[in-house]
Amino acid sequence: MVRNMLKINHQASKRSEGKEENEVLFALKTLKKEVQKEIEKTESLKELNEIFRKYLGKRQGILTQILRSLKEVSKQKRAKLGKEANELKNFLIIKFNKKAADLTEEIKKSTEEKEWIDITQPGEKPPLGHLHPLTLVKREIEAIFQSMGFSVVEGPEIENEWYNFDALNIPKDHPAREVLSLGKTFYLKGGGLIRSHTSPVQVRYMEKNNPPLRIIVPGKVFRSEATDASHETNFYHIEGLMVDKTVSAANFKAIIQKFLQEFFKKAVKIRLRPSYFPFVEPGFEVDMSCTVCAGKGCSACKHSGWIELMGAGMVHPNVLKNGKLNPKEWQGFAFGISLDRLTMMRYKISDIRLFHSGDLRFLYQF
Amino acid sequence: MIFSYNWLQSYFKKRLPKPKELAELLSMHAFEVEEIEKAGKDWTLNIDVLPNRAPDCFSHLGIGREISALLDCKPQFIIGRLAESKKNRAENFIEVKVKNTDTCPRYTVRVITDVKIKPSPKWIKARLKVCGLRPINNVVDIANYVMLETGQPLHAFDGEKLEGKKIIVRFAREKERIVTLDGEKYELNNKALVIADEKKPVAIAGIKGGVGAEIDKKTKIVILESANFDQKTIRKTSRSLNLRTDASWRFENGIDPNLTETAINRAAY
Repeated sequence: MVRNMLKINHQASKRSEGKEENEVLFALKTLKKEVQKEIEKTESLKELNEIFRKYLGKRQGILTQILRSLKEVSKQKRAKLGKEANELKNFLIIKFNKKAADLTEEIKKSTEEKEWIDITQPGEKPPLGHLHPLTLVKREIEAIFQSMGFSVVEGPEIENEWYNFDALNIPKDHPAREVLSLGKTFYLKGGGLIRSHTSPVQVRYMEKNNPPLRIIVPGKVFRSEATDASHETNFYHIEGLMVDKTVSAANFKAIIQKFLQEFFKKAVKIRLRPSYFPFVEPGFEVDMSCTVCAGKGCSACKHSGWIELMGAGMVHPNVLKNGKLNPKEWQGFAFGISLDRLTMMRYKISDIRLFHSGDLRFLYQF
Repeated sequence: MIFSYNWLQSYFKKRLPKPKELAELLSMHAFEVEEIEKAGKDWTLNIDVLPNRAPDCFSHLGIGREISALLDCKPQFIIGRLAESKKNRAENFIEVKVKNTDTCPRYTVRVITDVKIKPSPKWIKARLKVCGLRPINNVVDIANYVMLETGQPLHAFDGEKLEGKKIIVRFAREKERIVTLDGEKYELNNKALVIADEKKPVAIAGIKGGVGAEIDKKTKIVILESANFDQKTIRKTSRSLNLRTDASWRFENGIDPNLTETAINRAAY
């Protein structure tokens, strides 16, 4: 509407100067009202910008055109009309700026409201991981042995037949080797195997270190076995080795008894029974008085009062030789104990398979 | 291995501790006794003899020796005096050839003539049954009995069934066949050791006898074999045939070659 009016205005001014002066003034007044209304209605900066261009745009702006058309008006009238028009222009610019400022403020307010952050609120804790029961017990055992002067040593999980068998006095075609190797050891395609016990580390360590030796070797071992509540294909051994000039089974008894007392935090009795492992001579099984019934007999120890704990023995001279030690000069004991077993006893876990089940209901208890 | 408590007792004049106490004694000082069970008037002890002691303790005599040491009491092992005929020399009945002495360090034979095949005496039957063996006849039973007693596996052939009156210890020919005493057929390879007569194999050495020269009701001349075979050879054959027997188990773990004579004399006595 305004545009039409201005067109008339324009034409009028061309046609007869001076006569239509009042009409132009009227048109400017109308324009002023129109624009103010439009500005007030506006809700976004984008719209405001469009309105600005519609009236005050450098080329197409309606007011700009009016101002430009004043060139053709006589000097007297131009002064009066120009003044009016320029005042309107300035007035409108101020209005535009104010509205723009208002809108910016409004937007700021609304976004602030939307994105408001309470910086005093305490943070949400991300769920933290925790140690596996096997790790807990392993660390505890390591600490006990370290306090008795044992070093913690590790060895490779991928072994060769020499270290896993031959070096440990288990030659090829020996019945004992079949017990371990026939279907019980995982052989690898390119030769080699994954160790079926941690004992290979005995020889590896003897080769590279000079006695006296005192080490424990915690580590994963692998057996190809059907799994049940007390058998897993993948479990932990803790190997122990002590070599010196006069180390005897008596030292072994003392150290193991001390270890068990520290670990179970109560007095325990141990007993040795003769047994056979090719890499020790003599070899023995170690039983511990039942921690549940203190040796009186209960279901945990099958009413015998004793719990079978580990295999051990005096290191076989052939093993010392394979470790490049002179068996006439050095002697020692070795033992192997299942970490899983100790952990199960510590936490009264009934099924070994839980350890690697990844069951969070199990793991969250530790 | 399953042991008979009464059998062990028979070596001692002194009364042995009760089965449970005896088991405890053995467990703590020698071998783990895995099970004790009552079997009629006798008791069975299932003793887990580990491989290092198999050569000397996989027998009643062996465990008897162990008990005697533990209790510090003298055992009485019956070693009878054998009546050998001076006229009828064994050479007249049989000729033994061992082709490869590495795999068969010792081969002992006794010839027993005028044999009457009949059931064994009750007490022998009883002991075999307790130890889990089936009594068959007096000759087979005595071979088994002596094996359980001394740890030396024995085997008996019918002397008249051996062709050419020869025993040849040799490797089997490739794809040579044998039917064992239980009627199973086996195809052998050239790494299996066999006992053969002039024509055919009559036993898989150290593992199982064949039907070719088996003892039957008409047997009159018994050729008793007591031999020592190489551990590895027996083990490999036993594995490849998937045939494990009381005898193969003993040979695999090694036996004292001197034992062949003791055992054969004990059996022939």
